[in-house]
Amino acid sequence: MKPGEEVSPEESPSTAESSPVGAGGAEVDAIVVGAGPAGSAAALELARNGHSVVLLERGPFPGSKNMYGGVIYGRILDALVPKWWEEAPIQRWVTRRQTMMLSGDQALTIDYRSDRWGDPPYNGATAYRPDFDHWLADKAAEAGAHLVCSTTATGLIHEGDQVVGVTTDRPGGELRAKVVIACDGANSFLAREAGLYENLDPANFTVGVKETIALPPEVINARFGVRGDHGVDIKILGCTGGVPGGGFVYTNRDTVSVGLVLSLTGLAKGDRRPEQLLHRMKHHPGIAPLVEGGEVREYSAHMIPEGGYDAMPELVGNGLLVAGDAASMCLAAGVWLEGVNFAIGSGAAAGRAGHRAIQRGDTSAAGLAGYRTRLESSFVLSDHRKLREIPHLVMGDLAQTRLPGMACGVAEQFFHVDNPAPKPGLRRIIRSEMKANGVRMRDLVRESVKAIRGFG
Amino acid sequence: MSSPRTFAPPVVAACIKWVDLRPELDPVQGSLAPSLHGGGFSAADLSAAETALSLAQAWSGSAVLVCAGPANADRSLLDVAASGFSRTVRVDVPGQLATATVAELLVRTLGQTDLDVDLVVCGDMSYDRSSGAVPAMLAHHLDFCQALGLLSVQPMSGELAEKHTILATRRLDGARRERIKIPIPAVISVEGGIATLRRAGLHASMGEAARAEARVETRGGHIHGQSDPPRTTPWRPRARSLAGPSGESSFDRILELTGSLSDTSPPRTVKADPAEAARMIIESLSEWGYLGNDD
Repeated sequence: MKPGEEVSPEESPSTAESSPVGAGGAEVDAIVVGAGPAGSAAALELARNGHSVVLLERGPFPGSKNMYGGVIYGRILDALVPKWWEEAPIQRWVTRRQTMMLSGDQALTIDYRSDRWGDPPYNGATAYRPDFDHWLADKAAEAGAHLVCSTTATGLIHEGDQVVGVTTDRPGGELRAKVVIACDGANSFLAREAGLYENLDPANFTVGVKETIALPPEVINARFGVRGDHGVDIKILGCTGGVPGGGFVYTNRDTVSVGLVLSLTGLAKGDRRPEQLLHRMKHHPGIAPLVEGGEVREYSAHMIPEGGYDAMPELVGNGLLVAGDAASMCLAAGVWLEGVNFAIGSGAAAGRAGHRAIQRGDTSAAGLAGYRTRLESSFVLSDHRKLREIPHLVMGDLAQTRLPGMACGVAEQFFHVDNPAPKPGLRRIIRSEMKANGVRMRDLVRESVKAIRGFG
Repeated sequence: MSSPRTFAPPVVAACIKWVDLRPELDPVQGSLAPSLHGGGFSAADLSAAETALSLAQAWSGSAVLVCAGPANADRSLLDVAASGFSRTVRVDVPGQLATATVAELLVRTLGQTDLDVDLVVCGDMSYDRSSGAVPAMLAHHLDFCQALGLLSVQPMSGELAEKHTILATRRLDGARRERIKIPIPAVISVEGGIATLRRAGLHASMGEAARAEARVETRGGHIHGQSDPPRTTPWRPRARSLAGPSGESSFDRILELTGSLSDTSPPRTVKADPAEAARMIIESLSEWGYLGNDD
């Protein structure tokens, strides 16, 4: 071989056996675009079923461009990686969950803890996404998937109305396959190119900003009231400067992740920058004692598709499946902010549907339709369908600004001792705080009914 | 009339080192903690790889990739290998070893007859605070000529093309350059900015990834490597103490600092035998203040 010549596997005698070229012009059975949790799960399923799979990753290694945006609920991994908890790169097991409402200098927290969540099979965990995604992609590679990093899928190859491969940014970068699974993240270019998104509304997207702040493990344990490898997940309502969204604090082994998830349209309307709002939240009296003295190790930002069920694209095209954030699978329903488990669930379902379709020799939209059926019968779409109204409810003005203020005000008056004046009645406190925060009874009832219906 | 001598297509080796690109530095202690996924190759090493490929391509020769690094370097190594190298050899260097030990391990591989290397191209520096002395040590052990810290490298045309001679530019003091002809066998080192490694084709990358184990030959490991002695003080770059400017006015001091309007010794070209040349170089370096009395 001469330098500068591109070598295809079929040209090299030593690699003829490993050549993935298949019949019908497809070089491989499946191409999975994006080695995040969805892509790796899809590639793992396909490779385990004996298919040739290429897993394309834009970054230099899987997870290199991902930031951690929620607790990882790993039970979905049970079927893919038995006893995953023994080897997955977990930072802490979440044994304490809090929902915190912030308003002005006030904070009202609902706190739940269970040490049972600190034992196998666990409930949720914090992890660094570069570690976690790298680990899961390695599982796919061990199963036989070809992981190709530093490669961006730039478009789809069509034959008629059938997707038959992708183009990449590498020289000679066309690759053909029987099935393409687009797991290329929020704002999926491939799904858009295929026309699977009818209208992409910016209101369905948020931007997540996060600081990772280093603190000694013993300081984290003391401040958050945990021991060993147990950790805390705090979801925050309020303190977003009037921009619809929410906040979070998670404990890692020797760092604390503090961040905000902010509406894109809300940010565009206001004259605020995400880092300003994050700085403000870090200095709130409810948050500051948790992070003070720490050293900021990392600042990152990422777009999050939070539109839920109603914002999802068509999930199946001819020769094409869409999974994970590319299919808007992130669940943002107030107390539930889940992405990785939905990504893994949808990715694994896409892998299984792809496997069946390849087996039957029909990778048209009809042949791949089993993907949607699988998702409908699993938690992925059933949870999304059930909670489809919740994202709108949570991002509404009442939940965002007026309710945290009212709840904190009620708590302040209720717990405040103002002797020699007698204690005020609870009804009077609620009425006065509703008035002070502009909450009308009919709005409260209407939103409460919606919430009860939404949460089922 | 004698028939013209023919030269076999040369084998050009790119010699690179796997380093941690994103180590965490303790600003107080100067200690480094390795990153989990930050391994890769320095810009100078990638530039060396491209230079080796270009030279081998121009000479219709072959390019081999020799890498010093641990087993987990293989993924990054294969991505470089997919750019067009015909062979890939990883010299097993499990941890941070002393420069001389790394050089010795590399020499053992490069000196093996199955590689039959004619030209070794290295990066002029790596990111792990190494001394940059490996290329010189390779040249010494392989008994090749050496030209280090090159700014440009191109194969010579005409009669010298057959002899696989290189025309290179090297940086000199005072922003000056010298152009040199380098015959092979040789060891050269290049700066990071002189070439950008070509992107491997998609199919080449897939092929390399598919046959990783078959493609990477692992050698070495039979040497009891020694680490550089541990530091007891924070690491600082080497510094040379200079007297402050002594001018009366700030203008004079700036002139003194910048060297503007001061007499400089013009460049001169000398022809001398190696011993005489070495003596003149040492004399000049002493005169310019680069060598102390003890050197």
